Parts: sequence; C-alpha cells; structure tokens
Amino acid sequence: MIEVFLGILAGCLTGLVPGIHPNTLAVFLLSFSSLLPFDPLGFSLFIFSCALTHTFLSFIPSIFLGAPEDTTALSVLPGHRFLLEGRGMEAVYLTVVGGLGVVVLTSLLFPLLLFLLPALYSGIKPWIWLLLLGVAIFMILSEKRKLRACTAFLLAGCFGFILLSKPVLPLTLLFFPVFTGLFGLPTLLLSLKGRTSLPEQSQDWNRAEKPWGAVGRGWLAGLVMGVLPGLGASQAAVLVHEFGKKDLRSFLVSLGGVNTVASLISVLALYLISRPRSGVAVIIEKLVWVDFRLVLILIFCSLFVSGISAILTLRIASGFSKFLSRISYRKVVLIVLVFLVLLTALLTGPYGLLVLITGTAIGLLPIKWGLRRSHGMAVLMLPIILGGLGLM
Amino acid sequence: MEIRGCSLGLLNMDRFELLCLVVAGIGILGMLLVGWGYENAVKVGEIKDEMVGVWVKVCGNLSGRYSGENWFGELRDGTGKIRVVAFGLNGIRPGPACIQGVVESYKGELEIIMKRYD
Repeated sequence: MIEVFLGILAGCLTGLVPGIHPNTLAVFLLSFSSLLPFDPLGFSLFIFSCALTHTFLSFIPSIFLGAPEDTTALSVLPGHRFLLEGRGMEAVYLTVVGGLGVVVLTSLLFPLLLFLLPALYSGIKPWIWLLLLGVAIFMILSEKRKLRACTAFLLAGCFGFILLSKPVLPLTLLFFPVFTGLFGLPTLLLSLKGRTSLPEQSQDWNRAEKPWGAVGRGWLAGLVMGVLPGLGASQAAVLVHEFGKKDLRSFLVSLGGVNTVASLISVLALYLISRPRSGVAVIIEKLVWVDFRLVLILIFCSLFVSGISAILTLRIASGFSKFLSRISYRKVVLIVLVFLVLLTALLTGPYGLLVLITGTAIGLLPIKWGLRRSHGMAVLMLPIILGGLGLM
Repeated sequence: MEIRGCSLGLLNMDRFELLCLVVAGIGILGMLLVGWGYENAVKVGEIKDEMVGVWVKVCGNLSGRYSGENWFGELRDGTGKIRVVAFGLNGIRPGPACIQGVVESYKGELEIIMKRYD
C-alpha cells in the first residue's frame, strides 16, 4: 500500500510541474531501483498510481497556467476561457468528474472488455489512419475559411512529420516544447494583451447538466485510442472535440475521461491484448508478469487512486485559484512564460527552444486567422495518416 | 473544503467528495481482498517465448553450482524445468527457493537470468 500512496504523491508532483512526465520519473527511478525499498510488484504499483494521478493533476497547470502536455493540450482553450470568466475551478471539476467517471465505468465493464478489446484491436487497427483522415477532412471542411484551415493543418502536420520522422529527443521530452509552443505560449501571449488581473475565481456555482453522456464519449474514445499502436489520449481528444457535443462543459468532462482511461487501458492492455500501450506499461511489463489476479489488483488500485486524486485535484486547484485571484495576472503570465522557456532550455536544449519558437509561430496562426485551434493537433495526426499510407 | 454548491446533475460538491471517498474505499478493500497473499509468481510451465525480457518470480527446487562468481543451474517445479543463470549474485544454495529474474532466450532455449534469490 505504501507504494500506492508514494505513487499518488509522485503523480501530484509530475502533474503539477509542467514538463515532467511519469515515464521520465519512472525511467529515472528504475535506474536507481536497487536503492529503492520496492520489490518489482511494489514498483509497478508505484508507477501505475503515479501515472493515473498525473492524469488528474495535469489539468491544473493546463487550465490555470496555459502549460499543457499532448494529452491536455485541447483543454487549454476552453479551460482558459473558463478561467477568464472566473470559472477556472469549474473547468478543473469537470475534468475530475470525467476522470473518476471513466475509472468507475472501466471497472464495471471490465468483464465486457475481456472480450471486446481483443476484437476491437484486431478489427480497427488497419483502418485507424482512414478514421484520422476523415477527422482531418471534417476539421478543414467545417471551417468557413477552408484554404486557411488547410494551410494551418498542413503546417502543423509538416511540423510533426519533420519532428517525428527522425526524433532527436525522446518523445516524452520532445512533446513538451511541441505542445507548449502550439497551445500554451500562444494562449499566454494572448492573455498578456490588455488584462492585468484575473476575475475572482468562483468557489460556488451550480449547473444542472448530467455528465454521464460526456463520460461515456470520453471513455469510448480513450478506450479505442488507448489500445491502438501509435495513438493515445491526444488523438482521442481530437475525436471527442470534433464529433462530441460542442458544449464546452461536456467537452471538458470527456477530455478528463479520455486522458485517464487511455492511461488505464494502456496498462490493462498488457493482459487484454498482451501488448504494452504506453511508456509506463512498457516498464511494468519488464517488472512483473501480468496475470488475471494482478489485473484485478490494478483495477481496484485505479479506483482507490482516482478517488483520492479527485479530492486532491479539487483541493489543490481551489487553493491555486484563490491565490491566482489575489495577485497580478500579468505578472503570473510573464513568470509562467519565462518559466516555460527556461524549462524548455533546461530539458531539451537549443533544439527544444527552436521547436518551441516554431510551434508558437504555428500555434498563433489559427488565432490570427480566426480558426479553431485544434488544427494544431495535426502535429500528431498527419504523421499517423502518412504512416497508414506507407509514406512514413 | 470551501468549494460549495458545485453540482453536476444530482451531485453537489460535498456529495461528490463523499462519492470519491466511497470509490477509494471500494478500491482499497478490493486491493486488500484480491491482493491478500499474492506473490506474482509463475509456474515454470507457464513461461513462454513471448515472456522474453519480462521479470518473473518462480518458486521450485533449485539445483546447480557456482563457476567462479557466476551460478549455473536449473529450477524444477511440478510443471517443468528451466535453466537458471546468475552473474555475481552471492549466497545461492541448492534446494527449495523462490527466485526472481528476467526471462531470456539462449541458443533457442528459455532461461532465467536470476536477479534476486529468496
């Protein structure tokens, strides 16, 4: 049990500090595993708890600071809008509802997943590029300015193609400047225009919309994408964004769900389809043999971790939102901007800085042209589509 | 907790926090029940080619000897036998034991590179 609690603490750290991914922490700790008081099973539970907690907490920097990672990138946009309306807490709450909902749903439907997931894996795998191509065409055609939309999509896509065809850095490190550039910095730069302080963040609100449909959509998208090779929560987020309800509150619930279920399923896939589907799952595979009893332990562990993480996320976000309301927003944005640039330089060097600048330039285009900012997700979509066509 | 009145459907904030605690409680109870006495050990007969590179724990009867600092031997249980190699691991004795290590393939046969000896 102590490993699970330590995993939750570590997940809080990786979730709150932009740029630190559970994979990075797990690989770092694995190299010192002989010094740690964990056996392989305990270490697996530690990493699993850390990764799951991370999916809850990582929405706090994404919504309050505009500092996303690949899986939370699309939350920056509605999240920031909520923040500027004094509803930052509500945005975090919605993602937490989604996260907790999908874990409960996965636990309840696990017997079904035993049969559904292997069939899903073999059935959809060859056609996923076609599905993404359809999404891409829909994204462009649904814009009023189609030529500009096409340009923004292709620019982000080519950016991804160049970066991913011969990655100079490990992907978890590379994604930090990519998504901070495409989604984070443009949002922050935009926030600098005119606004000097944040409105009082509401701690008391009331909404009467039932979230279960949004949880279901997030669960399904995260399930499909989490289990397919080369795909993940970020692609599932695009699907939910394009085909889900256009209501921002539902979208945030779905996004919270997508992120968590993709992380959970990527590990359960070790048993369900005998393949790891994330960096954390690869490490767990090397530590323990995943049998049916261990899968059950992981499912119950996910219930425990998500329950605790949900409460921790809301309490931390509540304190953070009150703190943000009291200080100059312009100063906070400037500090975060400098912090993100310095962190990029520290983690990824001059190459990462170049990626950050390029990403920011591409990320500013949809704002300037009045397009939806999800075109930035072409950075991952186009390489997969080209891969499906045998061009990458 | 100062977040009040926040609701989605029938859930207000206090109820949501209670729900989180109930979910966490079910989780911890399930972990304790399912995990009671669990050792994540496999039988020798269950070790297959697709487990190459995977860390396993196996219990059985260990036989073999040291050659210099390295141990070469085999482990048998009721389901089969497998070759066991340990590099620079001290204190290994023949007899009943639980070992942990990584499954590898050497000259077409599976073996365990022992990392821990209990």
